[in-house]
Amino acid sequence: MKRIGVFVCHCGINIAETVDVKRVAEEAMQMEGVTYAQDYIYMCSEPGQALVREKIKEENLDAIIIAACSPTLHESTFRAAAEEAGLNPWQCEIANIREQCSWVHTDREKATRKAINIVGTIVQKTRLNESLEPIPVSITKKALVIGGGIAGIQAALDIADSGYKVILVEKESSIGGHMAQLSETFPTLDCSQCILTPKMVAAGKHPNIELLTYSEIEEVSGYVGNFNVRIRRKAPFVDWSKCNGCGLCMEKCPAKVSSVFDRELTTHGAIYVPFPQAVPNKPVIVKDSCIYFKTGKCRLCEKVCEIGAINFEQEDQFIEEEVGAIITATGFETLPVADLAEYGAGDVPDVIDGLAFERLLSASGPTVGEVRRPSDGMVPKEIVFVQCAGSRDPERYKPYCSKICCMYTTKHALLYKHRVHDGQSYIFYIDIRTGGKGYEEFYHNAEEEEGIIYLRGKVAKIFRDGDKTVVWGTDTLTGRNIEIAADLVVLATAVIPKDSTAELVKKLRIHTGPNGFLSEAHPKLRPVESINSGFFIAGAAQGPRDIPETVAQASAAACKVISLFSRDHLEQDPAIAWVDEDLCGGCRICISVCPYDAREYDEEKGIVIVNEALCEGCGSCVAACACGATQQRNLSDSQIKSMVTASLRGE
Amino acid sequence: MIDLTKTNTGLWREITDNCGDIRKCFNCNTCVAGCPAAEGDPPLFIRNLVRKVLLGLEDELLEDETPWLCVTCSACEEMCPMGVHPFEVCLDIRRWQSKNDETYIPAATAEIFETGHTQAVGQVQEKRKAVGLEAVPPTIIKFPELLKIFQEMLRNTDIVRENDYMFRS
Ligand SMILES: Cc1cc2nc3c(=O)[nH]c(=O)nc-3n(C[C@H](O)[C@H](O)[C@H](O)COP(=O)(O)OP(=O)(O)OC[C@H]3O[C@@H](n4cnc5c(N)ncnc54)[C@H](O)[C@@H]3O)c2cc1C
Ligand code: SF4
Ligand code: SF4
Ligand code: SF4
Ligand code: SF4
Repeated sequence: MKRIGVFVCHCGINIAETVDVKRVAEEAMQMEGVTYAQDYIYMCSEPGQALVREKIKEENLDAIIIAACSPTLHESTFRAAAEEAGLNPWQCEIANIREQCSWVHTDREKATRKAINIVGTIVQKTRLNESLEPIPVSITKKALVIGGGIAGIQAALDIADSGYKVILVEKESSIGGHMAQLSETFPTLDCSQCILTPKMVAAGKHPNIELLTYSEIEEVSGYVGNFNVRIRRKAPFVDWSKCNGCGLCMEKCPAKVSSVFDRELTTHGAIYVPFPQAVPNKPVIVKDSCIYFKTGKCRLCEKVCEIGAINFEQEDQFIEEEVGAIITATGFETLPVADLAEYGAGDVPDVIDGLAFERLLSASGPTVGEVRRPSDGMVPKEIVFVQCAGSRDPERYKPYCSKICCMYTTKHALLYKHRVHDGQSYIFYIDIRTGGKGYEEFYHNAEEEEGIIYLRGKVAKIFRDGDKTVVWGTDTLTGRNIEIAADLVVLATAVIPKDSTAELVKKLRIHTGPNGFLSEAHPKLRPVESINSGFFIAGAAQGPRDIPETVAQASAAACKVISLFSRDHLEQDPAIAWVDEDLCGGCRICISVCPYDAREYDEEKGIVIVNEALCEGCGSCVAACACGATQQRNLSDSQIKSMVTASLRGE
Repeated sequence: MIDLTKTNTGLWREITDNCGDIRKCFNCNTCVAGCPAAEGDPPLFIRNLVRKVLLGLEDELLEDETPWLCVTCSACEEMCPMGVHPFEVCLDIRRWQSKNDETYIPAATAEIFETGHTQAVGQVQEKRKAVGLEAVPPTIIKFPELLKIFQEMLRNTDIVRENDYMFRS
């Protein structure tokens, strides 16, 4: 018979206040198989662990139970301690008497009885636990980064610099993301393009980075260390290997497409490069807008292209790749102005959003950096900025704070003043949130030096009156309603996840939160990992964030990938499902219930087998299997039965 | 409704002589929280005055008598985190009001003439006694001969001379 030791933790007063820990230890001593029991104030402390190690040896224990907090917190701590003292780690079990007992009860007597019961149940499991060995899994040391904004670029560069191969997949024809659209960046006002383009060029040239732009993920299968990815390279109808970027085709193209990059303030041809510093600097033809594709006539671009790079016959290509880790960095977009009915629903021409204003401020933008309003090109003299447009409005739009708009609005007002010296700007805000390094100072400087008028209150209505755009708001600080007949209104629209992210996460089988942003494994302690192993997240795809935070997070995600790749192989938890070949009748019910695609039908043997690397040990198949062929290691039917019996006997 | 394109948003330049840079005010309201006159009737809300200056609400500010309620205790001066010097804002507004409108005679000037105070100290004598203070504060009001001299001095100022119907003690 196994000699089991039980260690009951006080967790300071977290457990001991509600549960009589001494009595739990005394009662445990009476249980079958238990040869030693002891309580201690902090089991996880070094002396607590030393006690465990010492007693394993002294008392000749074959297995131990730590009655303490949730196994997600300290299971690995105590398994390591057990291993150090010569036990197989799977001979260490945790009885959760904190989250599942002391924290949720107030009646000390009942809570103590329940804690004894929990320990009794785990004793039954432990008696039948087998010693297990972790399952080694190989790793393909190549990463996939999805999204080529600053997050994806930074992560790809960090991984590539440490010697591993990276595939960087970007949906658009050029990498750069939103940062390429920005003028100058808060809080230091460095030119966005100037700090971004060196990184874009580095990513384009890096020997370890394979850049796949104008590409999307079709399918992902496999598991951590061994993913199979199918990537669609959309046909640009231009042979990029021939194209030298001369731009003749774009000059001649008669079609007109409004520029997404310039927030529809300008147009370009059906064949275009989104911006001059694009990487790669190769054009694509927008099929839906191309006159030839629509009517069968034109092909002007083909005529002018001397090297014959235009190819209307090109088709989408599919690439299969094996990678070991995947970083999702698909970024954000902003709530369309059209969604904001009270702000003109996109029908008032001089109501634009922050990104459009960035383009007006940008030296490479449609007005070469001069602030001119869209309706008639006039330089606005009175300009109103409206913060929280669609953010912090749980009733109608988004409940969360978009985090970056307080800062960029102040930046906008400041840059406006640098361009239009006699202009007056007003900012309507609910709160000013300037939580970053140097941000509060940036805001105060703008308020003092640039004469911006901050009005605390939200705007209720924006409408057109002649060539003016009238804003009705309030100044809660005087309690007075305010009217401003402005020349231009800029809305700081809510940051929302990129629309294509919803479809992508389904393919990746990772998760998003209620607002559609990517979910992290733990908001504090595992902020760049997805709950599914091998998936990492970075940048604004996880939630609104500015460039410094995005870059820090991208480097953190890269670091996680590098640490994964630095191992020879991965170790998979062996406490997973297995199939008794003699019992399995091949009904395949289990395949349909497995949420991790871990079960496959073996044609030859006529039975189902488990892909050990994919199995997460959820137990769905065990419950579904009618003939008892599928069992879970260390949670066998007989273990579960005796646990249930023990738990019922206790009541 | 205030039409901000029509107000004088440069007003702060005209008014603020001795105080700090009032554009720094971030409306924390500490100045009001520590101000004894904020408990008065009507109350003095110094932060609101700062706001009126910043938004350029000239007409309202000219009519506003609350700057005269400041008891010059300087509590706000000590506490303002942004160096606005709210107390000086009060005095700056008083000066600007008087300079801008010759006919403007705040009620407080009559009180000054009579008692040497902007506040009606006569009314608080009972309260002072109740908390163990002497009924009349130990300022000029306590010394009738000095108060007389003070009033003679005031008679030489334009405001008292030209409006003497208001200043008959
Ligand atoms: C108006 C405005 C002004 C700003 N000003 C500043 C500032 O001054 N300072 C500052 O620090 N921050 C500023 N920001 C914030 C800054 O833009 C973001 O922090 C930054 O762009 C986030 O980078 P990202 O790579 O996470 O996302 P993005 O820039 O959105 O990049 C994501 C990339 O992924 C690609 N992608 C999306 N979906 C897929 C898919 N399914 N497959 C493949 N590729 C995909 C996109 O095409 C894009 O290239 C501003 C933001 C706005 C809106
Ligand atoms: S064929 Fe299409 S892309 Fe080429 S010039 Fe004509 S419209 Fe433009
Ligand atoms: S960052 Fe500022 S403007 Fe943006 S939603 Fe939050 S509070 Fe509103
Ligand atoms: S335990 Fe869960 S993950 Fe593992 S094979 Fe069974 S159903 Fe799939
Ligand atoms: S204490 Fe200073 S910063 Fe705060 S409201 Fe008063 S004047 Fe403004």
